[in-house]
Parts: sequence; C-alpha cells; structure tokens
Amino acid sequence: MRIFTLICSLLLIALGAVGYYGWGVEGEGPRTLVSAIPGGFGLLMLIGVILALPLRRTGLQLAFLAAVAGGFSGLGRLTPSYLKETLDWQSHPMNLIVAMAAICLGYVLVAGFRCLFVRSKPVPAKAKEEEAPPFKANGEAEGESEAGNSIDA
Amino acid sequence: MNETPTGPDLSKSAEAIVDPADPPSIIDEGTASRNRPLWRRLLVGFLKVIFLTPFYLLIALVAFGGGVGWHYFEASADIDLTAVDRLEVGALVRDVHGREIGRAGTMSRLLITREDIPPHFVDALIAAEDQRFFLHPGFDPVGSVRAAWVNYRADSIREGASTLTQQLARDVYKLAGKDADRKLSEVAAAVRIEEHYTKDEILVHYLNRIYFGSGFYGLGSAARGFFGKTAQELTVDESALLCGLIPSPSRYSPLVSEALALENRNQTLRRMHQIGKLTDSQLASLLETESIVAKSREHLINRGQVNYLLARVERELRASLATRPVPIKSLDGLVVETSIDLEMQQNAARSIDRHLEEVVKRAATAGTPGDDLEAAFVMMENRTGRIVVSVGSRDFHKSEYDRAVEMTRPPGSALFPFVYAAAFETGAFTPDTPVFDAPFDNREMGIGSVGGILGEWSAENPGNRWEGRITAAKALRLSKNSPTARLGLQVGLGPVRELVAAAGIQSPFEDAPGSLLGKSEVNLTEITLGYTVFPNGGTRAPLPGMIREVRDASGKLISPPLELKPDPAMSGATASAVSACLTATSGGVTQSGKSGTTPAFTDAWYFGFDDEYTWGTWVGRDSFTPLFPLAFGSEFAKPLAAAIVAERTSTSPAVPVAASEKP
Repeated sequence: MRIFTLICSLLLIALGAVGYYGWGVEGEGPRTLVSAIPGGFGLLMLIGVILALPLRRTGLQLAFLAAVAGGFSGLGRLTPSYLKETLDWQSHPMNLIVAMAAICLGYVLVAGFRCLFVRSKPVPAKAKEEEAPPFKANGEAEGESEAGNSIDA
Repeated sequence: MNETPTGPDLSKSAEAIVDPADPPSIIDEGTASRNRPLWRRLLVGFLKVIFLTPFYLLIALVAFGGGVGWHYFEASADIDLTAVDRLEVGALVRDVHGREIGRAGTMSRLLITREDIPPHFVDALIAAEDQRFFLHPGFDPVGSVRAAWVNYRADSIREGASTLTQQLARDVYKLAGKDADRKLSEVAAAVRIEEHYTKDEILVHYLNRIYFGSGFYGLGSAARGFFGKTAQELTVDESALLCGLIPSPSRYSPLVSEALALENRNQTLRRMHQIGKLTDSQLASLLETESIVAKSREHLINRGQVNYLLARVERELRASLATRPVPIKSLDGLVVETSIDLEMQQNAARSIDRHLEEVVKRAATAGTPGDDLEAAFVMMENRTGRIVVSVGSRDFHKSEYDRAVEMTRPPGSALFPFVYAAAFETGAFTPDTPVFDAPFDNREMGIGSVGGILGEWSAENPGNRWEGRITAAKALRLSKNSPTARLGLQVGLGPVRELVAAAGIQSPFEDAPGSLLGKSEVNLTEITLGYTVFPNGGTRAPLPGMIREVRDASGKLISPPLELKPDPAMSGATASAVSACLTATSGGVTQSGKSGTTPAFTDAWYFGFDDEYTWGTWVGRDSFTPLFPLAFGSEFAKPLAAAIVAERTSTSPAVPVAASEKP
C-alpha cells in the first residue's frame, strides 16, 4: 500500500507542478499557489508515506486523510462549474483538477475497499506457527498485507 | 518499532504489544485485532464507526467546501479591482433655463475622504454592521456563526453576516441577490478587495457608495440631506441613526418612519455600549437625545424632486445611449440639456402636497383615511412631446414609485373625447348630432357592478337627470355615460381602439364594451400624450421625453435630432370639433380640458391643454380603494391642475441645488 500511496503522491505533485508552471505559461490563468493545490495534497501524502516508515498506520492514516481532502476538494471545485454548465473539458486547469480528484478518490476507494473487504482467512495457530515467516527488520511479516486486512503493502 | 506480532508470539494479547504511538486505525486493523475476542473486535469496530465516520465525513465536507471556495476564488481573479474606487462623475443635467439640476449617474453623491469621517461614526458603523471589520480578511466566519446564533435565538433576522467589504463588493460588482452563487462570489470578491485595499480605503469607498434611504447615496449626501451638515459635523446620535438605516434604508429612513429610525438608532447605540465604545452614562444620555432631522418639508420636497429628475433623466439617457451604433456606457463628462422647468417642477410638487392636505381633510369628514393619498402630474410641449413637469409621487423621499409613468389605472370618463373623435371621424356624426340620454342597461357595458342602469351614477353628475335628446357636444361636455355608451357601440370598438393607439396610448385597449367608458388601464403620461392631438390639429406629439440634447465632454452633439411624427391620429376638423366641445369660458377665463372619474371613485383625473402645453393630473390611492364617495375628478384633480398651471408664470426662484451638494 505504501508503494501505491507513493505513486499517487508523486502523481499529485507532478500535477501541482504542471498547474503552477503550466497554466500561467499557457495564458490560462495567473501563476498562483492556488494552481499548485494538487501538489499540496501530493506532498501531504508523501509525508504520510515517509511517516509510515517508522509509524506505518499513522503515516497511512495521514495519506488517507489527504486523499479524502484532495478528492472532495476537487469535487467541490468542479461542482459549481457543473451546476452553472460552464465545465470546459478542453481547458488544462479543468483536466488537472479532474485528474487530481480522480487520483485522490481512486486512492480512497482502494484504501476503503482494502479496509472493508480484504480480510485474511483465519489461520489455525498451529499451521501459522509452521508457516509463519521470520520477522523482518521493520517488524513487518512477509505476505501479511495479502493475508491481513491492512492497506499497508 | 514492533507493531503487529506474527509468528510464535501470536498467542500473546495483541493490545499489550501495540505501540501506543501507533494505534490501530480504520484502514489498518492489523492482525492484532484478528486475535482479539470477537466481542472486543465488534466493540472496537462499533466505536470506530461511531467516532471515525463523522470525522471523515467532516473532513470530506470541509474539503468539499474548500473546493467550492477554490472555484469562486479563482473565478474572482478576473474582477476589475480598480472599479472599487472608480465612482462615476456623471452627466451634468440642466433644466430648460440652463440651470443646473445636478449630476445623473452619480446618485447625487458628495464624496468624502477618510479625514471627513468622525471617529464616533466609525465606532457606530462597526458596532452596527461589522464588529470584526478590522480583524477579518473580507469575510467573517466568526461573525457569521454569531449572527446565525443570534438570529436562531431571536427566531428572526436580527443580524446580517455580510461584512462591510462584502457589502462593498455587492455594490461595486452588482451582486444583489441571496442565492448561494451570488453570496460566494461576493465573499471571493471581498477577499480580493481586502488584498488590494487597506481597511481605511475600504471604509471610505463603502461610505461613499452606500445607500441611506430617501434618495441619499453616500455619507456626505445623507449627512447633508438629513441633518444639513457635513459628515465631519455629525454627532454620535446622528451617526448612530445613519448607521441604523443601512440594513433597510427605504423603510428606516427618518423621512419615512421616525419611530423605526429612532428604534434602530437606539439599537446601534446599545451595540456601541456593548463593545465598549460608550460608557453607561453616555448611553443613557444619548438614548434620551432627540436626533433632529433638520430640513423643512418644503426643502425635502424640492430636494426629492431633484433626486427624482436625476434618476429619471439617467434612465432615459442610458436607454438612449444604449441604442447608438457604438453604445456609450459611462455618463462621465456628458452635458444633458432637458426640457424640465425645475422651478415649476418644485412648485408642482409643493402644490400637490398642499392640495392633498386639503383632500385628506375632506376624506376625514367623509370617514375615509387619507394618509395614503397620492397624486401625479405631467405637463408636456404640444409640438415636441418634451416633458416640462413630471411629478410621480407626493413625496419622493417616502415613495419612489413613479405614478406618472409606471402606474396604470382606468381613465374612466377621461377617455370620452377619443370615443367622440372616433365617431366624428366616421363622418356619420358631428358635434350637433343628437344622441339619447336615457337609462341604459349596464349589462351591455359591464362597468362597475355588472347589473343596474347605466347613467344612474353618471360619473360627473351626482344628481343625474335624464336629458333625453341632446347634442353630442353637450353629452361630451357634461360627460354623460349613457349617450357615450350608445355612441361608442354604434361606432364600434375597432375604430375607437385604432384612434386611441394612433394618439399614442400604447397600453392594451381591452376588447370589451366597458373600454368605451374608460375601463382599460392607461398611464398618466401616455394619455396626456394622447390629449396633445386636440391642440395639435389631430397629430400627436412624439413620444415624450425630458432630454433635449446631449453633448459629450468635447462639446460634440451626440443625441439624435428629434423626429416629429406627422402621422395624424385624426383629421384637423375632428380635433377642432372635440377641442371646441372641451373648451368653456368661465369668468373671462377660457379653459380646455376634460375631467375623469372611475365608477368606484378610485381615480380622479383631469387633462387640460392650451396652444403650447398639454397636462394631466391623477389623484387616488395606490391601494385602488375609493378616495371617498362622490370624489369626482372635476372637484379633486381639476383644481390641482389649475393651481399648478397658474404657477407657470410665477417668477419665484427655484430652490437651488446648493453648491456644496454638488459632487
């Protein structure tokens, strides 16, 4: 899950950079920090990934919160335009916001799905003792993510 | 850091080895939870759902709101922030004698600077409108919550949540309305304004723009208009009174309701006390102080007419400029010459006020309330249709409703001349043609109550008697209903409708016999225009207006030449015949005109004309209720018109617009 989180965060940071440096260059809007907002969410998720190295669940929780915030702020950004029927799918800012919302909400869905539905089968204690892999340095057991209900990969 | 034990130690209690700094989360329960007893897992799951779901929902909601704000903030990037300090200089408006009436397009503002605003006025304004003005960034979440709470507790709207900057943004960018889109645009614009201007600048721009009621825009104009002072000279109680007007200036103006103005002043004073701007003793003293609105009624009426004329000229000017090949949007620098006689306009307004005082007394003796009586008067040049006088209400400060233009009412018997003109135009009738004055079944006309005998209540003759066979001229002069109904039905609705339209009366002429007796509603200005056909030999004047010519800042004439419309509404012979019927000499004075009364005595009219001008008068109530029984136009509208027209030759000086009041 951390790899997936890392990929999403990097994608968002890239979107923020394109927003900040691209819109102004193309004359579609002023170069303001507002256009770098996707990058802000990506940065938060990246911090979550980094934090997850020592504090796995806390870090991923932070990344999840950032994704919720990014996804719903993207929806909020698009909703007035949709209601006023001024959505312009050809404009780059609009595409970037849609991409941001899609990445964040996709992450939320994947994480939520894993939390709710990907549960490990109960393993008999005896069999587990036999099959249990040795501890790794960071305390994470190999194959746990597949077997457990954690979103942590 | 060990988190989730696996392998041989699984038999240990999971929570005992979970790092307290890394508790299980909704997204990562880990294997530790799997090893808990079922009841414990269920309990933990339940608690997570109870506590974390609202938390995530809250985050999602806040994020969504932030996204919406992002949209509006981005959208506001295009607004023109220089518009905030760009008040129009407006167009100079002169009357027919070249006297300056004022400036159209500026709302007669008297611009002030920061130094002109006394500190106690700022205190009063902050207390009344925006207590966190110097703290917030354009919008005030704290103030909004507080206002919502106060309004919830009071179960009514006691406090608004708009900051001064939001109100300024609303005024500058015309963001009136209460829908969410406008409100959010207003907040975004307010934030932009706060980024661009200092608080003091915002304060000055706000006070130069805000409406204080009774036609006074801006603090300078309000201080001058209400108290005869400059803004600097305002006292604490006067400042509180003005700030108390802001939420609903048209209702709270002291010229409309002294009680409401005082109530709001006291509320503002109490708020000043609450935020520590007044001591207990100061509050007690100020609550006892009487805020005197210094102006005399005559001055207010005169000032009101200036404001009315400027507003009307601005409307006409903007409409005219918009039709140019290259529309002109700004009125700055234009010079407008009008046909208005300012002196006569102000005299007419004062005459109406005096006359209605008399009518109120008459109404009181008839047991009818008279406090809502209104009147309107229009006078125009016969040849050009240019308006010389147009009074739309008794007191413009109390009511800005223009009854000369916006109101339509049934003209009653004032329409009869057009019916007779249509009859004469057929060639089958002349003024000497005998008509029959005898009872007539009203079911054919549908006037007033549907039943009854038409003529029993002959509108201009309370003691009606049937005259039998009389001439058409006499029937018109005496305003006889039954012969007019018979004549009109013989001529038919079609010819009468065509003649009325050709005379310039554009309001719909209902396809019902009652229209022959003035049941179809018209407005005062258009029917006055219609009456110009009689002195004009059958040709009506062009559509009425006040503007004679407009020049730009370089002196170049930019208004189109007046187009005289020669299409006659009737023949010269018919016009002369009707004019003759309407002309009578009494006491050596020759008068031409026709009064009008509606069946329920709701409207009293009079229309008169001479070689140069045509004028029309209306007296009635906005509520459509009767003036009082037997209130005929000949008794209530005609004398008023006579009084106004008699002052046409008066040489009394008009009350000038003070130089200090000029923007």
